[in-house]
Amino acid sequence: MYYCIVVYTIVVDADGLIKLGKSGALPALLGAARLLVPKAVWEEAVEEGKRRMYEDAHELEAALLQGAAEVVSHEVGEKVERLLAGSAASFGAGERAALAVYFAAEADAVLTDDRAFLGLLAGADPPVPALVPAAAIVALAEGGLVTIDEAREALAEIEPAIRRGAYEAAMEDLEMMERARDGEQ
Amino acid sequence: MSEARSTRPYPLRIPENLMELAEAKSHSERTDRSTALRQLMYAGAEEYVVRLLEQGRVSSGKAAELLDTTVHRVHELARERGVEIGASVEDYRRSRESTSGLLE
Repeated sequence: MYYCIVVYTIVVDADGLIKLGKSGALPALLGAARLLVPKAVWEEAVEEGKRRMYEDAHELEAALLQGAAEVVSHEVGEKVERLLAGSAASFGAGERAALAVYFAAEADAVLTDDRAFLGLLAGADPPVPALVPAAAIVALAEGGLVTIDEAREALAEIEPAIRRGAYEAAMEDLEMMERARDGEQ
Repeated sequence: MSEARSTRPYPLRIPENLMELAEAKSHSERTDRSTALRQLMYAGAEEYVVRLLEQGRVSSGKAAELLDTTVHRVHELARERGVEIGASVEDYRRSRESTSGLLE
């Protein structure tokens, strides 16, 4: 009998990476998926953050290196240019690089919490699956990669940085998950 | 992003009241009037860019580029102004659906 372990590939942008890093759930995600950090995103979230004395940037660097995240670089191709047509002025180097890496690496999703970028991803044909940090934390709890209490703590850490509605929806999902698990026992 | 941004001269008529404000700012902060004016302009730019971000009209990466700062600082600016940024409930629900099973 053969077992096939599927490891999904997730590309990050600076916004999603910083928020998931702040939540404390980044190591769990690194343990569950192959994480690709576009070079421009690494520059925005880690190098530039360190230059401007953000402690978060040092913590991000440590977590990414320890979790074997891959820092990669790909040219922005025609597909990305087509997707960005008409809205290129709304996006920075990191988001453009994240799209380029997503297509070049045939990744499974993009981790982001950026409203403008989420709109672009949802409008693509076919839509690019987006993993928002709150959903990532809930999914990690669902997959048993963090406990429900750890997921609540992680959400509480990023509560000031995400929209109230998304925070409450994620908390409700954890609540339902807990009730379902209690019912099973 | 860390290197100094280039600047260029631009002719501009400035209302007297703003000049008065710049004058007062330059006195209280012991700086010159041009610096005070640039700081006031920058504060307005921060406010405007954070609103664009809130509306989803620019990304946080683009906001950082426009303000010559970091995405970390953009998050701080939004928080300081009590502006909510990030995924909406709909974005969250869509994300749950489209990435279901990804981390199990």
